[in-house]
Amino acid sequence: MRIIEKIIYLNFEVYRKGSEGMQEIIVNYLIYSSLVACWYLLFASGLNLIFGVMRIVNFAHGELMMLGTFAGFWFWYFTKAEPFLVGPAVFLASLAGGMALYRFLIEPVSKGSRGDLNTLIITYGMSIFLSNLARLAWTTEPKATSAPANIIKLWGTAVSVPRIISSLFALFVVIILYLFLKITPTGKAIRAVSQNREGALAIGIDVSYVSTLAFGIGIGLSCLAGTLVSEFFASQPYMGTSFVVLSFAIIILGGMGSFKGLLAGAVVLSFISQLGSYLIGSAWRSFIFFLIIIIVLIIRPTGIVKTVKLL
Amino acid sequence: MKRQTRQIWKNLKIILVLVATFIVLFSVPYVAVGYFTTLFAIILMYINLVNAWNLFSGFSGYISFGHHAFFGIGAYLMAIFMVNFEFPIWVSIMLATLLTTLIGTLIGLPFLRIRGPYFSISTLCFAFATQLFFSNWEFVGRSFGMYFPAVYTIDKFYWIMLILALITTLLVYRVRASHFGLSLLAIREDEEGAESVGINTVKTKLIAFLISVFVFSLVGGFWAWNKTYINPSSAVSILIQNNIIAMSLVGGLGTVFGPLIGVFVFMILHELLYTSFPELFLIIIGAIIIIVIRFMPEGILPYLSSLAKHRFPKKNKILSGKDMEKLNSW
Repeated sequence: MRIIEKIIYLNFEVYRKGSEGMQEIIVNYLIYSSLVACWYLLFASGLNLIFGVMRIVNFAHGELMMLGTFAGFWFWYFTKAEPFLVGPAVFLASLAGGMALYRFLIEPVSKGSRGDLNTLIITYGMSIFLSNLARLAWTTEPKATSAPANIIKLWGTAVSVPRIISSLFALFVVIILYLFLKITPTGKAIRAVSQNREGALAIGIDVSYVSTLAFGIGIGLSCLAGTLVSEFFASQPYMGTSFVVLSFAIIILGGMGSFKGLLAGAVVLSFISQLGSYLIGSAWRSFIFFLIIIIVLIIRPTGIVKTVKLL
Repeated sequence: MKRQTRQIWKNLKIILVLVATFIVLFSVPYVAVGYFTTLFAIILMYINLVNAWNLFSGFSGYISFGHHAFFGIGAYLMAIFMVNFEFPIWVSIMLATLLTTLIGTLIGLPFLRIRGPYFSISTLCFAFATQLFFSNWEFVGRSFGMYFPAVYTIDKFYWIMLILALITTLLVYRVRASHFGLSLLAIREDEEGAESVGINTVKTKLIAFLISVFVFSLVGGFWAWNKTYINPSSAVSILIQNNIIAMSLVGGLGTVFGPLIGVFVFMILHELLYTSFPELFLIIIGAIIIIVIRFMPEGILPYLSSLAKHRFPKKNKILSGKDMEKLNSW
């Protein structure tokens, strides 16, 4: 019923404003979907490096992003400067933190026949620990940066400049990551380890170091994504879980470890979920969203993109 | 003759201890004040849930992060039958449990094909979807929730949970040594291997899953009746799932009596901490999970017992055939 009401409402808007109204809605939708898609891409590429390449399920990924979001918020709160300015510092700090995390918590438990199980549960414990630590420190009240000041009009739609810069920044980082993995020796080593661990060891790659570095970069990217997203969403201690499910969905949709698949997954999910909130409202939207993830997991755990390629 | 009497005496002793424990536990509502009855009722409720979760996830290695969804579905169906259709309590609880088990079959058949982390993610998604579904469904009062006609006593809830706890513990105990339990353990260690020696893995996993779903929905129904008010965030609560995982880890995954002791240790910790530092409680749960997995992945109690064995070794004893039999059966 809600869907029909909403569609009627949209049509009414169009009727009131003439063809300009429809155009405005479509332009608004396209701009916001692509801005959010850039950010999805950055967040999911961090998890992709850990889950798709290192084959480690990191349930605490969303909580680490949440820490990044709070870093962005507090930076804005104290200096009144845009949160993306603190991005590089957050990235470096969380790179070091992620490497330490891998060395002291993940690597020791990931060996043996029950390694997968252990990493699954330990990162689950980390997510409980971090989100409640954040609640203790900052309470559950959502903390949003104030309404954007610099606004430009793009084809009749108001968009804030910091949001555009944040999204472009995210896109830029993802491109750098892609080049890093493709060109540099370290990136090649990371890909080698993901393809064949024993083979990489045999040709003299320090597998342990490369894994630590890849994990650290993954965590760094997720925290950076958090800092950038504090422009879009309010920071809240329990925000992590739904975002981690979202990025698992992007990776699963795109196929693990594949970069083009990731791009496709991010764009598709961003456009679908924005369209959903235009048409059905945000409450049922999340329900349908989880339903889609479950169906994709059941039908095609290797990813939609690979399936399309096969056809 | 002598051996026989000794054997009988030994069995009698075990039976006596069990009967005495049961009588003591059974008489708690008569003797203790309301607080202790409630505390023990919650402990017994968690024993049921942990047993059910351990039977499926601990034994088969399919770690479910979304079993609290079935708890919530049981609670909500019970509420719908009792409040909206005005059925008597026993009829509504039976109908709710049967329906939830049916839903569990429909969910389990496709879900159990998914392996490893994907399974955990999809169960978590399922639990989120369930919670969102109940908080958007007009019929069950959206996020406002539902009220029950309040006719209950905590004593009844306590006794029901006690009897259920007895049944589930015996069930896990029997399953651990049975062919079915060993098949589950084989699936946990190596699923292809288990399949290749002729274990019907699909059937085995599904049966274990359905047993746990059944217990969860039954306990959820009684819990809702005891609470007299449910809403989506309390009935489909991730806190219940987190508690269950922490409790099982304290006692050791895939063991019989470890989780029981885990429940007691955890609940005492819960009572001590929650009254004075409620904010710290979940942080400590997270820390427990991290520390246990990092330093003693077999569980706290097995770790302590192995430590004790190392400290105070028994005299060397040559294993007899009977001992070997005992070892093999376990």
